[in-house]
Amino acid sequence: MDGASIRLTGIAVSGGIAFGHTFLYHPELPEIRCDRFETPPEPHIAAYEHSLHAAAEQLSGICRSLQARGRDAAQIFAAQLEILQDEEMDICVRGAIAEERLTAAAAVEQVYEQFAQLLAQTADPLIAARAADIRDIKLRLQRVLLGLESADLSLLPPGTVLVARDLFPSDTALLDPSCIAAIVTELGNQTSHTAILAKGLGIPAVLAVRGAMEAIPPHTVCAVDALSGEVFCRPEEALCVHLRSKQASFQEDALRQQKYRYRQAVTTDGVPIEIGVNIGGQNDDLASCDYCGLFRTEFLFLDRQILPDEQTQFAEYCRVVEQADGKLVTLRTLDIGGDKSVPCLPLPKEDNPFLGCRALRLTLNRRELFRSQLRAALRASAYGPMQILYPMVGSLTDFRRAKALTREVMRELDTEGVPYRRDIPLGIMIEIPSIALLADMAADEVDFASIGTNDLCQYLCAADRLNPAVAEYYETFSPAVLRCLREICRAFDRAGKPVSICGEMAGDTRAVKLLVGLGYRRLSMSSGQHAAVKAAICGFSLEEARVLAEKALACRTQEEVLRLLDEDRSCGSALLV
Amino acid sequence: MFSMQAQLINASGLHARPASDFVKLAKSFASRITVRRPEQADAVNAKSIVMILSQGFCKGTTIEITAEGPDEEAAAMALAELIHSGFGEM
Repeated sequence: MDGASIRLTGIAVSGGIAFGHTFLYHPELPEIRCDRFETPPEPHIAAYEHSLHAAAEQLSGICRSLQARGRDAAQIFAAQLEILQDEEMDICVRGAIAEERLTAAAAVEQVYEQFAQLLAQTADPLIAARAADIRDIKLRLQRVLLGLESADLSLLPPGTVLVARDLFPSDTALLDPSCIAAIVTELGNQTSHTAILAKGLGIPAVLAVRGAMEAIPPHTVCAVDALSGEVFCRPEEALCVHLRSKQASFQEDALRQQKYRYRQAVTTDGVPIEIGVNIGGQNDDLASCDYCGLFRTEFLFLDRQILPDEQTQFAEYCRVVEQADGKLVTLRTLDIGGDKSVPCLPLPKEDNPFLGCRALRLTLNRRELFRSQLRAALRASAYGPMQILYPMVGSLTDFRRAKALTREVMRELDTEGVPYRRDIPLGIMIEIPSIALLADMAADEVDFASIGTNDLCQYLCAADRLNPAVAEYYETFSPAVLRCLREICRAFDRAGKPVSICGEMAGDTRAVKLLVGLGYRRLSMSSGQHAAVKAAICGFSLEEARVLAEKALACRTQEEVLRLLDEDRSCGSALLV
Repeated sequence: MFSMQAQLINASGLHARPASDFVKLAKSFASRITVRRPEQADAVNAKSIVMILSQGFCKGTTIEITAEGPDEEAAAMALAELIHSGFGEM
């Protein structure tokens, strides 16, 4: 068993090579059976008491770690610690063990479930939401009782290679990025939440690794090559040497690119390209950008059990505006549904969530939620330049409805005498083909647009971007995508309105020259990609980019486009030497 | 056995932090302590945050505190006093 090395492959995102020890994230638990015993109950009581101590220690540890990082989520775990010490539940569990002869795990299951239901039935939604905490503690106790490893992502040791089936925002919200050497998941791809997170933090990640959870043993030395998309467990010495030298040259390249990080991106013939940053409220770095092209507001909704109120949102938006220090902030209204779900807003399950009630469609249905966000955003606009971006706009009707509601909220603020920026630009995400085809009309009505290439591509190609089975049909460089991008850019240029790209494509160094050639002058991506993208832009002229774009538009398949880009890059690097 | 009544005057009632303060104080006494609405028969354990929350005691509710044990009088009086103080929300 031991000693045999294992090699797995997947999709490389975020670059780099890392070594570490694996941690397998199993958030789910085997079914607890209603086991009864015949022997004396004392050992079962002792096991229960041990689990209480262990769980209390874990919870205090999480609280300390989150507090040290200044995270609000610490309160959730402080409250759970209090529930863990609940006298009535304690009495009931002991009773179930001693009298009903249930095993500790089964007794905890029965009692905690009963109390969770008691709270879930209360009329007050704040109290009902606490039922989730009781169930969370229940799982924590049962993990101890079953001898399973704790499923906490907040207490991982430094140098961890995190292996999971998939990671959700609510999981990763607790991560301490400084302890994660690399990430390996069975699901996901270039545009999934995990990829965006890994890129933002500069953590090497290999996703869509089939069978990773079965094949990779826990607590084993593992090397993750996020340049080639390979994962090696127990790598042999010769391989390690090879990987280390590869890592060294990667770091050298990264270092060379770092020189460009804080420079202005200008083509060799002097055309400036504005580089924006995509931020999500955590570990944001606005130092190297010209503007913030995408402020994802979802983060505020991730690690909490109840919806954040207007004041909480206002405080966070103000913090970002202040941090931007005079740079324009593009605040995107809530974009949940699809691949993003949050605990504080349970949504009905849909067969096709990407084609379902997500983002603007959701907030137009939940008016109060939308109003409180718009109020908070508008109030924060008084403190610095800001524009509001509506996600998932499929028609001008969508835009008009969102705009009308925004105007209504503005009038409300007027009567209350609350200041906000009156001429705040209102724009749309272009990610649905139906609005992309009407780009000229949209350009006439909206103040600006931002293109979400991830969703645009998935809708154009009819390929679920999270489904590995159709990964080959998700063609970012399809000539159809390129033609669509060119038309959008032309329409907005004619109308004299700003248009930018904020999808993953903007941060892909293979795509940058092409996008500039298609006419784009604003690209927004996570700050971790700034150095490489700026370095790329400083290496070509606008004329060269235009020629490349024309050639690409004449290609008939993605394969031809990619070949063209590869040839162009090898010519470019030959010139550099 | 010793009982006392007190009316909740703070805005949030016996929820969130006030509930937590109430349970903490109750746990500092040795006596068995229960609370209930005077018009209801069922009383709940005052040392259980979950039971207290499940009752939904809001502002204006009168609560009867009953303690039984070595420090019953001190316990009931201290808890009633905490309710009268408005949990520092006033």
